[in-house]
Amino acid sequence: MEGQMQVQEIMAILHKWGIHTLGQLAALDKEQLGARLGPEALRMWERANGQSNRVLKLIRPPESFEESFEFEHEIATAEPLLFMLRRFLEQLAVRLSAIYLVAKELTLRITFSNSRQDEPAVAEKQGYERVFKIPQPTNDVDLLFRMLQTHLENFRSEDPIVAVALSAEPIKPAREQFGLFETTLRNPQQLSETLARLTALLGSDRIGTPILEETHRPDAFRMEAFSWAAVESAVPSGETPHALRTAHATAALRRFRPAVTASILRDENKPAHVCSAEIQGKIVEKRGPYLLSGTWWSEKSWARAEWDVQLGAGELVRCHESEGIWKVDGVYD
Amino acid sequence: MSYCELHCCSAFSFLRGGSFPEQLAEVAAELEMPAMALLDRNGVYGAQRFSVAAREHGVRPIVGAELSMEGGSILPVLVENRTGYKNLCELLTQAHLRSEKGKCAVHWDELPEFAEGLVVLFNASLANCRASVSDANPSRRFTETPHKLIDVFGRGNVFVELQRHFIRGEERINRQLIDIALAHRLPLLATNAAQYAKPYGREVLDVFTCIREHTHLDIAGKLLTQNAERHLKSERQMRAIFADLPEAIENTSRLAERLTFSLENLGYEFPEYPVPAGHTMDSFLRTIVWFGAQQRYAAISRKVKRQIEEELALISKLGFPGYFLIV
Repeated sequence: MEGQMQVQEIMAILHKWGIHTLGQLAALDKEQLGARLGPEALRMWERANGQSNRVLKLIRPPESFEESFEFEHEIATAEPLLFMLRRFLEQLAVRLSAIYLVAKELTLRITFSNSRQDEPAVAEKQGYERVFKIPQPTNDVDLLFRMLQTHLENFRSEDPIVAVALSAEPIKPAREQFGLFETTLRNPQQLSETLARLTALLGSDRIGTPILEETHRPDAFRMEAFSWAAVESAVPSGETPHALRTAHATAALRRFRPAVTASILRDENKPAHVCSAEIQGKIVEKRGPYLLSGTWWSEKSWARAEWDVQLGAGELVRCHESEGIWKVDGVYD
Repeated sequence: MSYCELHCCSAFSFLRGGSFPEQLAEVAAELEMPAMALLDRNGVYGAQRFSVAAREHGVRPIVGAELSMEGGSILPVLVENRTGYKNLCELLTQAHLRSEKGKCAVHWDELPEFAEGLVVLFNASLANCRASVSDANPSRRFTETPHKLIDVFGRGNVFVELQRHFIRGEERINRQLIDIALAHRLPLLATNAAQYAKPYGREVLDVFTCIREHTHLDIAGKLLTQNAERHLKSERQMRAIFADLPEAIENTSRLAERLTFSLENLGYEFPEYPVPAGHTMDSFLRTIVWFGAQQRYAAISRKVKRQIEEELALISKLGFPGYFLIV
């Protein structure tokens, strides 16, 4: 910017001097010009005399690996959609392979037409977007297509489809050399396909790796995306997994997941008899209540009163009451 | 015998208490508590405000502090008399003077010098005081620390503090504490180690914890409290919680009766001014004043003489000669 300003200032001075053409500038004395107008004017004089040139810089626009298609007629079945997606995948695979890249992520965008009955002229477009992470980045069209097909098998929409787009996130292919005795996934593609099928069946929030949450809420966990690498490093050798450590563990608790709903008979506000699908009997000994509560600042606030009870048959059971509902958490070994 | 809360901290325990001293005094009065002790962390910061508010509400205020000991444990101390208050203040001053702000720690070996007039509570926190006993074995530390406290403060001034907050695992520690009390013939003392006046104070305390730990509520996790049980509780509630240990409740009022110190009649004692042999501070001040007067007035009039005598008499009566000699 500074250089540009300087050029403009020099040009203004040159115009005042009556220099209006490159020929007039080239005819000026180089040394005299430099002494009066500085180094930028010298560079301009050199360019006017053909003694220097500016090299053009080639700037490539970032390559976008996206294919899209707008259907002439709205479609209501999966076949034309799958046909288009296969074509997209073939084109993307060719483009990626040509520059030695593979796809690590696919993004599928489907646009619906939501024509209103009362206002047929106004067509409101709605979209659906879904990102597919590919565990082992690849350009294998069959594999990628199977992944999309599995997902779309369970895909339902009330509105007809007007457009579809597929974009790929490229990455350099991984080059790994495994040790002789190292175990690895025998078929990462099959794993990804299985995961995709399970996700389609169960929903994305119900598949992954459970991670224990750092909270006082017993057995609280969240699901994180399944990762093969994470499995390898989950339990460092020689260490007990964190999930198994408790501050005062003297007996292991076998948890029922989810906790079993129970009905409890009370005596002086303390549990006296428990009855559930898994456990039933008279309570002969009890410890508690252990009061726990948290997340009071949000709608997810919770509170529970836990009891450790011993049944007539000798079983040690942990149960809790929350919002008036009793549940059996598990049995101590 | 009534229950008195003898371990409670206010918002003056920086980010460790959720209620102002006045709120604590008000709730103590609501709960018909005859006396209550305020033990702020490493200071008696809230004591004055608490004392005034407590007296207004008809609750007898007791002064104390939680001392951060080297090794990370917390030693709750209660002031029995004026000597105890003086010792506590000196101990705290020394600890603060040599430490960075917010990192005050009392040395175990300086306790004997300032032990007179103080009553200490032995609790679960002291089981982990590494510096108190050289052995790193936790079970030995647990049993040897009471020995040390008895040696320093005297058997009659050490109480074993029991707390029940409905938390899993605390009963195991309480059983160990009861065993120690039996083994050393120490009295048990039930407290709720209250950190806020009403149950909703837990929310303030959780927010304070986040500020102290430089985090926020959503990710603070186990840094936050497990439940809202650290509030002031009535005698009926505490008797129900300690139904198996009624003596632990009764000992609270017994101990409260012993702790007679009050900030009300504390007054202020000016530092002593060194005077020449044969002089008291009064006589030395009188000498200096008359000497100065003679220099100022060539002849001292009767009016000036009377004025000087009146002033000196008042200074002597109020015990201020040290102050006038110093300034």
